[in-house]
Amino acid sequence: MEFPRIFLHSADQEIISKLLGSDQTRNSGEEQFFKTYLYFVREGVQKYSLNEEEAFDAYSDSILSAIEKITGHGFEGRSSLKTWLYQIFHHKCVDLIRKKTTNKGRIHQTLPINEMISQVSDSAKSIVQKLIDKADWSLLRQKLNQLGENCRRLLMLAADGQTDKEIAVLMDYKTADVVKTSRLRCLEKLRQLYKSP
Amino acid sequence: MVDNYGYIDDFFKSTPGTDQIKEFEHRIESDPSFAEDVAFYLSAMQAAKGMLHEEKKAGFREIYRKSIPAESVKVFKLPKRFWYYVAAAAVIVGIVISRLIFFQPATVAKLAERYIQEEFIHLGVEMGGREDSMQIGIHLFNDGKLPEALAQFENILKSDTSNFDAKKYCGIVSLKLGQYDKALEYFRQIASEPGYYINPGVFYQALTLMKRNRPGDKQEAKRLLEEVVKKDLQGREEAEDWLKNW
Repeated sequence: MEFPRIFLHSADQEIISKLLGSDQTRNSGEEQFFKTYLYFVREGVQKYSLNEEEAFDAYSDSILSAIEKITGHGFEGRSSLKTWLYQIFHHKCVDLIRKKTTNKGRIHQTLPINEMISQVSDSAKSIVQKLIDKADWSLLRQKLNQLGENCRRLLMLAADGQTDKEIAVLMDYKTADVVKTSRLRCLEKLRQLYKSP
Repeated sequence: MVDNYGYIDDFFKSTPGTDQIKEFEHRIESDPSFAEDVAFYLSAMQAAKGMLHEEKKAGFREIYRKSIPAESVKVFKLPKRFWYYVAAAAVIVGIVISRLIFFQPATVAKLAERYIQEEFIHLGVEMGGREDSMQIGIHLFNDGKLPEALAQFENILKSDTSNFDAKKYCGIVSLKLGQYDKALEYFRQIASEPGYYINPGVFYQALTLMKRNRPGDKQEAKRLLEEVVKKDLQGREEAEDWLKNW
């Protein structure tokens, strides 16, 4: 359902259009978005008693979450970009404070199951979630790093929601089909690296 | 295995129909190796996304670092001794000027101005996207539409004369608009409300008087700040701080 974007300034509209545009405008949109509300970091220090590094992390994470929502068309424009981003930032700060005060550094972090699989039944989802919970994330990241720049970039762009067609343009592949084949080979290669001792 | 990944990839990248979803579920439930492939596909995507986010954060960090005034960056190397003396003289002049500017005791009105600028830039919004009349007022305030925000909060008060938050927000917006008498009236009203553990009414009255700065305002503001400290009311830390250099 599309909501009227009554709270959006022209500057907000500009950032959103850039984020929804091609990769080049998207990068400039990300930078513009990040710079526009950079003063939130100071607020994180003053209002939430975080140190500068923590406030920066909370702000960067908020920007990344917001970008993901916007590019996935999940931002409805019910409030201004600033107000909406501040809500996200507030929650990130509160989470950080909670983590600090309860001193619960999570040893085993269960990643939430990807929204991609939300359409399958609970029983099938539960089987996959249990397997995901067993994943060794640090090993997986280590193997991703061993994949080589090209493969890693292919998987990163795909995970970021870029289509094969967009990736083909960005990475200078002939066609989207070539991207897909290469991407799946990279995934298989990653699997072999991950499984090898 | 690549065939499996092709099938899984197609499923996640398209909009599957009911039959395709059922078939996919059936394969997860009946074929453990297929379920493992699905789990690995999703885990790999998640890990790759995390890596991309870290890369972006590193870029953000660079922008952030550049946005901070680099006090210690030495921009040039002077080729001749003469220029060292010039640089040293410039540093001394800079220190003297900055001391003159920054170590001047702030006036009471300036203290209030600074507090208003720093603390009243954003009002908290409830999560959940509930667009009640209070939230609309808050959005208007956060978007800098102060007269509209004031009208919104005053409308709320018309139908709910005892609404504490609406009164508080009316006072804050009036103060930002320079309508000090009106702000004082709202803050007096909330200060006299019993039963609120967090009540900034007295402190905000003092703040408004400091900003208004008419004859007698400073003395009255001091009295109110002393009351804030004595009764341990909201704003005590600022009040103590300000009173030290009164």
